[in-house]
Amino acid sequence: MDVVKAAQLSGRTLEKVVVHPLVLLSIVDHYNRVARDTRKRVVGVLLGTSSRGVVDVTNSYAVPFEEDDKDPRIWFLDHNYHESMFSMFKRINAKEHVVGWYSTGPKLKENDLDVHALFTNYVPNPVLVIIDVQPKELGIPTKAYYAVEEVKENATQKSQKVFVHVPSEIAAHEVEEIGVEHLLRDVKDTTISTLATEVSSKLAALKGLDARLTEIRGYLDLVIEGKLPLNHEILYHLQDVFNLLPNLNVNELIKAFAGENK
Amino acid sequence: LLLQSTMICIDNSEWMRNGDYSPSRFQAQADAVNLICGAKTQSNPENTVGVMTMAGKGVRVLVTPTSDLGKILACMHGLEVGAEANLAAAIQVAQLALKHRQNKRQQQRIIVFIGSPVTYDKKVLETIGKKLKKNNVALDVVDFGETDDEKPEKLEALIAAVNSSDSSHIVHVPPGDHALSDVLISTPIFTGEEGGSGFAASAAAAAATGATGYDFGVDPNVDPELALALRLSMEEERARQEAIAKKAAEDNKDQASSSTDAIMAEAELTLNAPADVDADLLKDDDDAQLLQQALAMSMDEGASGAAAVADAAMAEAAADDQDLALALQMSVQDAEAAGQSDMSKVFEDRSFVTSILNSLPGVDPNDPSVKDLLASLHGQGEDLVLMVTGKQNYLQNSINK
Repeated sequence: MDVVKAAQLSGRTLEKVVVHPLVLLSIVDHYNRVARDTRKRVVGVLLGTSSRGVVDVTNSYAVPFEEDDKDPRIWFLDHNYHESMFSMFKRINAKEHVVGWYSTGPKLKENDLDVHALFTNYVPNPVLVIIDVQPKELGIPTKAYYAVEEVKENATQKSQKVFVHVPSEIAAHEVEEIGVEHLLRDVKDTTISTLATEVSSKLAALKGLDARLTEIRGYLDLVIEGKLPLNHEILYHLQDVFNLLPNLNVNELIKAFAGENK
Repeated sequence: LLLQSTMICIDNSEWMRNGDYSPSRFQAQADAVNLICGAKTQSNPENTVGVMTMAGKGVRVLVTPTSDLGKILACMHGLEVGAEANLAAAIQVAQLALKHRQNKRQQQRIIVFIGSPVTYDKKVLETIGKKLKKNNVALDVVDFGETDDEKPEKLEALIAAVNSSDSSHIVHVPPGDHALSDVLISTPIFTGEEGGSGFAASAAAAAATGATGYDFGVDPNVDPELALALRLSMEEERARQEAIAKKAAEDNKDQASSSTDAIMAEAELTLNAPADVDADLLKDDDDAQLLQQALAMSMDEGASGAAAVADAAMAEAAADDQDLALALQMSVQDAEAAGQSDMSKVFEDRSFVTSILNSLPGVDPNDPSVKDLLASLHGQGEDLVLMVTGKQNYLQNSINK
């Protein structure tokens, strides 16, 4: 199918997934067309480029997908449709390769690993991006994963594939940003003054921070109770966070803040 | 001609290594699948066929329903046998695949080859069968290979649950020297609902050679009306091709070359649809013939429509006048016929020509173009073919106006 150059096969682990706004728009449109008021999810293919551990997702399209609600092993994805569609997209922009697939979730499902395995035929290390089309919380709506073989410690079970989370962000080329701004003009309310908008955005940011702190606290509680395994990497990160907090108990600082400079 | 979308489920489990069907069960199954695909796509070019595996790496769709025979045959290449067949999951996935077919008017059909033992309960199979029946999906089962005690009953129960008005069939093929595909040809799976045996026979004959068994791929015994319609349209097309060839090259008797035959074979296929209608009505009386003319004219125009109408016009006129019938019959045959000299004498008789033209509908003898034609022809009585050309062109022009 798609001739992947040797450089891309270098086996570099994925560090970041960058999602462009066009992709978000297409996925939401796909969801609205097909499964708006149902509990079904929609699935499609992600196109883009991948270099130096960063996957840049620039385009996407939908594929016919169907699964049985009761039996997760029964699913059907029309891969002939995908092949014909991809060959057409290749003529528009030859640099866009298949980098993975998307699902509207909103969470991971049991047959995701099987669908993921289907995509390894088209790209060596595909990336799955779950888009939450009806987000209830703040923050970006995307979650990216890729599959890794997990070998059990005692090597008694066959090694399984497991999804590993990878950080994702929304970014755009300059031209895309101009387009997004245009669209936002209809969404934003221009009668509010700039001070009010700044205050409201600060408020939203603080809410987000509060939500994350609650989550960290919840996680630490579960670890203490023994319900979750201890993960050193997460603790290192948390330790770094606390180390970066300034120590406000130093005398000089108190004097500097509270004293009068005549 | 039945419009169908078919999903074929192949059993590529470990049981397929057995050699009780020559050369091996898997190979015999592959041949049968190839034959079915060929027959389906030949019987109606809009039919689509898809293939999926039940075992091996799991229940996987190899090819989604498509009418591209090459893709279907290619995907069977390099299939490996292994693991166990999952019948229930395979049928359900096949049903999902058919749900997403591109042309919703196609009838849904699943053909299952099951050569390994069936591990599922009768109850489970019956529930699946009922679901298929509810979604209007027909099911054909080819039971070969392993035969334990319950397998035939389970499969019969499945077919009974799916069957509605005899659309689903089951075939039990015992092991032996005969090829799986030969046994299948004579079964309802191939013959389908109407006169498909001709297609299957020609498909079998044509498997390697590519030539058609009967004249037009249709057995005159099976479907005489269709065969008649095809023959008529073939002759009509041949006459038209003659006229074009004459006009272009002013050459002499270049008919019956293989290339024109090929063109006519294609033209014959495209004329199948209107020919179907023509065949049904041609043998009826005049009212029906007029209706058929109207139908042919309302269909896609172009030379084929006009030719069919011209054929009908001539056929109608022929019914009235015996001499005219003779003249027309000779005019559509090869010009090498010995009757050419007779014909030229006939057409030299101007009054006779006028009477012929009078009896043809839509031809006005007082029309100046007709008068010019007659004048020119009177001077060249021997050139039979020009006469045919002129007549046909005039007919086509008058209809296209």
